[in-house]
Amino acid sequence: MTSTLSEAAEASAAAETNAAAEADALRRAFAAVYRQHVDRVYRYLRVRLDSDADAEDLTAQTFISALTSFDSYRGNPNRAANDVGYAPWLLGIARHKAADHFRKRHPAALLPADADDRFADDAPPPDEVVAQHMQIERVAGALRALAPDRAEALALHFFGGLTLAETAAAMGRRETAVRMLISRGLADLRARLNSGEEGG
Amino acid sequence: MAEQTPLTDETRMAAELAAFAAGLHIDREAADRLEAQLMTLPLQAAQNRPVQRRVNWRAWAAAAAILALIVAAFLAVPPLRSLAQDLIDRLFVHAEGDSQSIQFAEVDMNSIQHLTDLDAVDALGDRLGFDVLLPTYLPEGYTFTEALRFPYTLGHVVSLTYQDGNMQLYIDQAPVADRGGTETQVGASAEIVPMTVERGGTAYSASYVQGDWAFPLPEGAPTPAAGAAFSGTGEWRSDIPKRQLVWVEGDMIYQIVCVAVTPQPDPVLISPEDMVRIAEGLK
Repeated sequence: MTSTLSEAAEASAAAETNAAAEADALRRAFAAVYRQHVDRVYRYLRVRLDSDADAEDLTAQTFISALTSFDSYRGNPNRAANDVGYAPWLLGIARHKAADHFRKRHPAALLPADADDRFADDAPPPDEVVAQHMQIERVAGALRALAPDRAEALALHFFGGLTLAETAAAMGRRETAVRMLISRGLADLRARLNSGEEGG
Repeated sequence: MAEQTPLTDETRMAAELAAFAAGLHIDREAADRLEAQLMTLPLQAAQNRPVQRRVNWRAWAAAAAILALIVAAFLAVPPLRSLAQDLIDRLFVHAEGDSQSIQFAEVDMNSIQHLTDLDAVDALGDRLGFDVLLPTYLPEGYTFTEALRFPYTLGHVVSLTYQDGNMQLYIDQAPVADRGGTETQVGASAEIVPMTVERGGTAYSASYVQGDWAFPLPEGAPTPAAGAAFSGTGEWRSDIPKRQLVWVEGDMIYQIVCVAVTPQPDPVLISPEDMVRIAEGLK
């Protein structure tokens, strides 16, 4: 009996060791994914949200959510069969985090009333940091003033770094439709930015 | 863009937007802090933690009215109550046995949105951030009754409901990330049938299963109110007339459910092949 108990204890310890090793390997794999994609997730969220702090906060929420389902997503046969990377998955999570953010905290932020005023503000930037901040506010403000689908397509493609096909999949649209959204979105964005400059 | 010069054409706008985006980076200290935090968070899957399950709200909503009848027809004493096991999850996996403890969280039934106009259903997708797909093929006799949009706290789920007499058909659509969780457990004896759903030129792996978890209630215990929190030991029963087909497309999860509303002998369930046809016809 003593021997049996000892063997059981050893087996239990071995199982715990294996579980810990698996967890460690999973964390390392996720860390690599995190480092590779954190900027693109942040860029997408930054251009969709009002502030650096909100973008950083939702970037954190996105990766925390991703971590909880990373193992199952990594092993998903659809993903493996179609050679789908992690970017569409992460951006999909980020999209919903952003949508939740607007719904819960800033119901009017999807189309801020002062968007036009914001990108029309051409006061000279006092230093490089402020200049960059004003640029992102200017672009983000103009983007938020576009039709939601066009803005979303531009944000996913240019800031999230998704291909046209990935953007189409994320939005549940055909690739040709997304191509059109981006084309029209770029035209609208250009008009709004130029209008802001002329009006400033 | 940095000099705020007038922008002249789409190509230039695209190039400048891409260059501008490439210059945006998360604050390195914030990124490092987040990475450190991620490395210390518990790993649900790796640690094999029990999955927190949520109730199938639609089934839960209807359950109070129909469960007793299902019990009477399909299950012996002590009375059993059958609920759909839901949903947060992506594909079916076997539990260790045919009996397990399951908890359902309380649901605010008043927060469920009911839509009977298909145009309103289509518009709903715009607000939720995904296109609500509608079936182009339905088995003969099934007609649309309503669409349910479940509250945010349970994920952005849209459930289309169709009915043919005593049979109901549900088509559930939700972002995977909103549902959270990892997988839908079925009893150890459940037969999980791998299927293929071909949509838009892509073949998606799907899973099909028949049966459901049944929950014994103590003798004489009242049926819990719809939406009330509930916990109990579920028993998997493959003879319960409920069929489910589930698959994942990108960041969306789709689930087609066919179930008998009230117990009747030999319910005419939709065949697995027809469920696949419905899936492949969603547009």
